[in-house]
Amino acid sequence: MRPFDYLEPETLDEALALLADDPDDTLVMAGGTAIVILMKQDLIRPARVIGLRRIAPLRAIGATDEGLRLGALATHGALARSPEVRGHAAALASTFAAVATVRIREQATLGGNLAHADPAQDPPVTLLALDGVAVARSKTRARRIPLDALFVDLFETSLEPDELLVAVELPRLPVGARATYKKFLPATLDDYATVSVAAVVATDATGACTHARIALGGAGPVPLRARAAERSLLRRRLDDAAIREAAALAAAATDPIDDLRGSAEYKRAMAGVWTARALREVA
Amino acid sequence: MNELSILGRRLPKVNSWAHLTGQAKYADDIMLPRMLYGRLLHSTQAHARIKKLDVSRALAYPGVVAIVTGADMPEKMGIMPSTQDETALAVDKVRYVGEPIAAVAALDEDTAFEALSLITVDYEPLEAILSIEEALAREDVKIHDDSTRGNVFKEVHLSFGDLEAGFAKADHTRDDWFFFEGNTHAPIESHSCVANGEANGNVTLWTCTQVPHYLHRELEKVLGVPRARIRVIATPNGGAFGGKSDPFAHEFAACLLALRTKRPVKFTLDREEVFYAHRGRHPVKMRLRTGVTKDGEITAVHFQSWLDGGAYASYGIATTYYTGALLTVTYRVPAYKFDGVRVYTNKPPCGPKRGHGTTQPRFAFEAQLDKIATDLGLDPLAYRLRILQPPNSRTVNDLRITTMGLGECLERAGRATDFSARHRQLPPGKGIGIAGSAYISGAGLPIYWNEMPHSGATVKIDRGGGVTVYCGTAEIGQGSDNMLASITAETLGVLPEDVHVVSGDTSLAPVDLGSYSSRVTFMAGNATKDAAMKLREQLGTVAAEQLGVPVEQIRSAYRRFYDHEHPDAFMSFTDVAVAAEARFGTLSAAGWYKPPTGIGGTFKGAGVGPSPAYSYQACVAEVTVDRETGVLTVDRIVTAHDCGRALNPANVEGQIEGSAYMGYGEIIGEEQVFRGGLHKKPSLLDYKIPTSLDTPKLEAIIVETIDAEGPYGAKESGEGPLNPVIPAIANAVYDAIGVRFDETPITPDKILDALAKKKDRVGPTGLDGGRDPKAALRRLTASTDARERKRDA
Repeated sequence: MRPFDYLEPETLDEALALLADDPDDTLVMAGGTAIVILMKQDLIRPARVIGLRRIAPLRAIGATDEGLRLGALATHGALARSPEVRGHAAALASTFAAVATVRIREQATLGGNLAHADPAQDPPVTLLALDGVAVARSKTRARRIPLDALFVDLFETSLEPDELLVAVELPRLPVGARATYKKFLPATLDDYATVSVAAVVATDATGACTHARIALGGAGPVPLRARAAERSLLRRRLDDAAIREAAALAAAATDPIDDLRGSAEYKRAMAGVWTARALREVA
Repeated sequence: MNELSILGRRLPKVNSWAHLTGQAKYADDIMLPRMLYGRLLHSTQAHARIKKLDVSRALAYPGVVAIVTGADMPEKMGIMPSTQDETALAVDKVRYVGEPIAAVAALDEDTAFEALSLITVDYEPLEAILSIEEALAREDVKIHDDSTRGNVFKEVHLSFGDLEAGFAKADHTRDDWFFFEGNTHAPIESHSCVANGEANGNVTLWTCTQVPHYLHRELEKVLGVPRARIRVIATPNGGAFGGKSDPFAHEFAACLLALRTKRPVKFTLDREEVFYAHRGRHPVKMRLRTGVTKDGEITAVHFQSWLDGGAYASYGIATTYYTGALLTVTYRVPAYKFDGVRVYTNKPPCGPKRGHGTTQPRFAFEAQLDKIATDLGLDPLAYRLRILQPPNSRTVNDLRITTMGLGECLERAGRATDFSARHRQLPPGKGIGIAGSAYISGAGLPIYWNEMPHSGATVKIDRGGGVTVYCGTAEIGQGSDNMLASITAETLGVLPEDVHVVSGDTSLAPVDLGSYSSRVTFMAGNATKDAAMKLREQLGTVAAEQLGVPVEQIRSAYRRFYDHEHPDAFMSFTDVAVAAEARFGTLSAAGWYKPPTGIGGTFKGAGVGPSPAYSYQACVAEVTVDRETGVLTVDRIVTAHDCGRALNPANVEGQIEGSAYMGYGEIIGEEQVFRGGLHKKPSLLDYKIPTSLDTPKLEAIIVETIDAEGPYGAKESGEGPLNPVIPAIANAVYDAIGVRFDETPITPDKILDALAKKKDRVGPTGLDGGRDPKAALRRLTASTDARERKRDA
C-alpha cells in the first residue's frame, strides 16, 4: 500500500468541510472493507483519506414519520440485528446478514456499500425493491436521490465528489406487503452472488397484486429494477403463469457479463429461475 | 512385545495445544533484531526475453539495503536432480506471469514494495504457449531454448504383458477421453522464511518447507556455500499439501541477501504470489482404453496421459510416471501399456498436490469402471469386489503388494450407505456413486540416487526421565511431530508428552527426506522405532536385573518397567533410565529406515511406483442436482480407508476428512485457470475453496490390515483418501441425471448446459485447440514408434 494522508473528523460538518477542500484527491472511508483491498492491490492510490468512523450520529437506525431511516455508518451486522429493520421488512435484515462473513459484516457499513456501487452486492438490491432513497450532503447543500438514480455504472454513483451519503430512507410498505431476498451462491456461501433477486409484493382481498417490486443484483453494471416484470404482475393473481411470465421478463431485463461467477447466458437464465423462486415465496 | 499403550488410542496431538492457542511459531512469527524485509519483483509477461534489467533507481531509494537478481544466482536448480531447469530468479528470460525476477531487502516492507516499482525491466515479448495442444504443435516456439523436442518436457512409454492379446480376448472395450483441470493447494499460511546472515559467514534459514534436506542441497548448489555452513530449520507449516516441497525463489533470495547484508531478511509471500508459486495439480488430458470379458474381468488397459506442466520441471518427471504407475495396484490388470507426455507451457509450474499424479488417472479409471459396470449391467460395488488385485501379490508392472484392504473398504463404505440397494433407485436428481483407489506409503526411492537411509532418527534419554527424539521430518500440520513422540513413547514406555521433538533442523537432526509422498509415519516412524528399540533393550536389561525377572517378562508402559507376570513389581522409568545410564553410559541411539529392495521392477522408469506398502480407499458419495440451476450439492461423503494400523484413530480420521474435503473442492469448482497468460483468479476472493458451511457431511471409516513392513503395522493416511472422492462424486452425478462428466470441475453451468442440450456426456473427445494437434500427436507417436522399434531391435 502506498502512503497517504489520513484524516479523522469528529463531526459531519467537519467531514464535509474537509471534503470540500480537495474533493477530487480525497477518498472517503467508512468501514474500509472494499477500498483497503483495492489500495493494497494498488488499484486506487488516494492522496488523502477521510475516515468517518468517529461520526457517531451517522450510525443511527430509527423510525421516522414516513418510514425508516438508516444511518450511513450503520454496519451490516447492526442492521441485520436491528429490531427496527426487522420490523420494517425481515427480508432486509436477512439481506444484511447474507453479506460475506461475520468479520466483514461488523466492519462494512451501509453507506460504504452503496457508495462503492459494486453490482454484486446484496443490500442495494433489497433497498431498491423497498423504494429506498439516498440522502446526500455536501458543505453547501442536501439532496435526496432515489436509489435507482444513485447507481450510474459499475462502481460509479451520481454522488458529486464533495458529497457524502449520510443515510438511506425507506417509505412505509403497503399493508400486508411481503418481501424476500434470494442470493444465489452456486460456489461457496461466503461468495458474491452469481445473481440475486429481491421481490416485494402486496395483494388485495381478491388476491390481485396491488404492489410489485423486483430488483436484481449481479445481473448488469448496476443493481436494476425489472419494471416490465413488475407491471406484468399488477392486478393479476400471483399464480404460476403470472410468475413465469414475470420471471421471463425479469431475465430479459438483465444485462450480465461473463465472469468467474458464471457466463452471461447462465446468469440471465438464473435471474429468471430466482425471480420465479422469489415470487413463489411471497405470492 | 508390549501390548500397545499409546498407539491406537485417540490421544490429542502433542502440538495441538500450541496450534490452537496461537503459540505455534510459524516462519512469519519470527522477528529478529535488525531484520530486513524482502519483496520479489514478478514478471508481467507470460513469455519474454529480458533485454535489460535496471535496479539502480530502486537501490538508491531511501531505506533499500540490497537487491539481488537472477545474475547473482545463475546456477540451475530444481527439486529433481535430473531435470534442473530453474534458476532462483529469472535469468535472461521469463516463462510465466508472476515469475520472480529480482528481490529487494529494505528496512520495512512498504519500502521494499515501493522500490519494486523503481526497477525497470525491458522485455522482448515472445509468443506464449498456453495449452497442451499448443505446446505439442508449436515446435517453433520453445519455452526452454535447450529443449530437444519442442516443448515436450518428458515422454515415457511402458508396456507390460501382451496388450494385443489382452484386447483380442476382450468381449467389450471402452475407449474414453478425460480431462482433469489443474488446481492449487491454497494452504492457510502463505510461504514465508527468515534467513540470518551470521558474522562467521554462516546462514540459517527458517522456512515453511516440506523438504528441509532437499532445500539444504539446493541452497549449497545455488549459493555456492558449503552445506556445513548452511542450517535449514523447517518451521511448522500452516498447511502445505505439496505446495511447499520445491526450493523457492524467496528462500534463495533471503539467504543471499542475508549473507550480503549480514542481517536477517524476511520474506512472506502475499496470496497472489502463492498462486504464482503454485506447483499444484497438473491439468491432464487422458485417454483410457480398457478391455473386459463379458463378466467384466479386465483383459488389457492402455492409458495415455498428457500433462500440462507449466513453465518448469518441478517434480514433473515423477508426476508423469505417477499418472501411469498406480493404476495396476487396485484391480487385476494382466496387460498394461502406459504412454505419458508432459509439456511445458507459459504458466506457473505444476508439481505435487496431495495424491501427486495419481488423482487424475484414478478419476478416469474409476469413472470408466462405472461405465463398464453400466454397459454390462453390473452393480458397481459388487463388480469391483470381483476384480480385486489380491494381497501379497505382484502387479503386471512389477509392484509388490503386501496388505490390501480395498475389498473391505468397498464393503464397509457400501454398507454404511446401503449402496447397492439405492444405486439406480433414487428419485430423479438424486444420485449415489462409488469409487476405489490406492496410494503409496512413501516412495521406494529417494529423488536423488543414493544408498543411504530415507529416514534417520536419534533418541536420547535424560536423567529425569525425559526423552528427546531428533528427526529431519517437517511438521506440515499432518501430525508428524506427534507421530515421532507417540512411537517413541510407545516403544520406550513413557507418555507422548514426555517426549521432546526436535524436527526439521538440518544441523540438529538426522536426515529425513521430507514430508512428501505420505512417507513420514511409515519411514520416520520406522526409523524412530528402530532408535527407541535400541534404548528399550538397554533399559529392559537393567530392569530385568533389578527386578530379578527374566528379560522376556519385562514390559514398559505409562512410565514404568514391570514384570508382566506380577505387575506390582515395577520400577519407574526414571529409575530404570538412571540405572541404565550408569550401566551403559549416555543413553542415546540412532535408528534408520530404508525401504526394502526388490519391491519394484528393474526396467527404466521402474523407480516411480514402488512403495513398501500401499494404502487403499473406497468412497461413496451422495448428491442432489438442482435441474433448474445446475447446482450440484454433495449431501454426504463416506470414505473407508485401509491405513494398516491406525496409530492414532482421531488423527487418521482427520486426514480422511481433510482429504474428502479437498477432493470435494476440486470436483465442484476449484480450478487454476488463465486468460491469455494471466491467472484468472489469483486471490481467495475469486479462487473459491469450500468453507466449513459448504462442506458436505463427511464420514470416515478406518479399515485396519496391520502391515508387517510399517511401524506397528501402519500405512499412510495423508493422501490416498482424496483419490476416490472425485470419481465417486462424478459417478453419483451420473446416477442422478444420467450425464457422464469426464472432466473436472463439475460446475452448475456445465450441468445446466448438458441438461438443456440433452447431452449424455461432458468431456473431451481428443486433443484439441492449437494449430494441428492431431498432426503433432501423429509426429509424437511416429517418433515414439521409431524409438521403440530401435530399442526392440
